Amino acid sequence: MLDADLDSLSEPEQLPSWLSEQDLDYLTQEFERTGFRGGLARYRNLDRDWQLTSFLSGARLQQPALFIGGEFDIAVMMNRDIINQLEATMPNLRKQVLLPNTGHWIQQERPTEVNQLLIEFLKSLR
Amino acid sequence: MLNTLQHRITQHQLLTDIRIKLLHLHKQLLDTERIRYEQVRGQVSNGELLQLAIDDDRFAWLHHLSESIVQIDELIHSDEPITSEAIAALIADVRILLTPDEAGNDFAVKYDAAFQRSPDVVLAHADIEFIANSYAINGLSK
Repeated sequence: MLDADLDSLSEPEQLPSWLSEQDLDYLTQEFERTGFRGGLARYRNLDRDWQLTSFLSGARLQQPALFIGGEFDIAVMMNRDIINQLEATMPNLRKQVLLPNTGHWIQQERPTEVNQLLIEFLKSLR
Repeated sequence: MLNTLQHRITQHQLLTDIRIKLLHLHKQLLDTERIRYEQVRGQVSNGELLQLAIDDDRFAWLHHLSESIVQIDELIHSDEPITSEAIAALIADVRILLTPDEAGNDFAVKYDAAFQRSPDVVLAHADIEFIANSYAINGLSK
C-alpha cells in the first residue's frame, strides 16, 4: 500500500517556497536518527485504535471546534464524506475552512491565514 | 477446564484488574472535577479535595463509581466462593453505569461531559471496556 501511495506522488523539480533546504535537511536527519518505525506504527495501529475505542462510534464532539483543511490535502480528499458531516458530529463547530491551493501542511503553506483563523477562534472562546 | 484453585485465582485476577482500572478512571474523573472546581473557587489542597469528594454536591456523582469499587472489594475479600453469575452481574452493572449519554441520568450526563473534557477519561474508559469485552468473549480463560 505504501509503495502504491509513494508511486502516486510526483517529485517536484524544486522545493516549494514554504520548505527550505535547511528544513528538509533537518527532517531527513531526524528520520535517519529515528527510522520510520514510529511514524509507520501509527498507521499499523489504525484498526487497533478503532477496536479499542469502538464505544465512541456515533459519539459527538461537543467541544467548540475549528476545522481547517487544505483543498489539495489527500487526507481531506479521502475523508470528504466525514468532513461533510462535521456540523452533525461536532455541534459546536464554529467554522470550517478549506484553504484553496493548499496541501496537507497548512501551517507551513499558509501560516498567515492559519494563525488568523486560530486567533479569531480562540478569541471567540473568551 | 480450570481446576478450582486456578479458577479462584483467575477470578481474583479479573476482579483485581477491573478494580485497578476503575480506580484509575475514578482518579481521572476526580482530576477533571478538581479542575472545574478550581476554575471557579480557586486552588484546593489534596486534603481539601478529599473532603470535597466526600461531602460536596458537585463531586457526589462520583460516589456511584466508588460504590462499584467497594462492591468489587467485598467480592474479593468474601469468604464465600465467587460465582460466575456474580462476576457477570458486576461487569454488566459497571457497563451500565459507565455509559456516557448527554440525555441520560445524572451520572450519564456528567460522565459524558467528562468524556468531552478529558481524553484521559476516554482512555481510562477504554481500558475497562477492553477487560469487559475480553470477559464477554473469553470468559475467565485468557
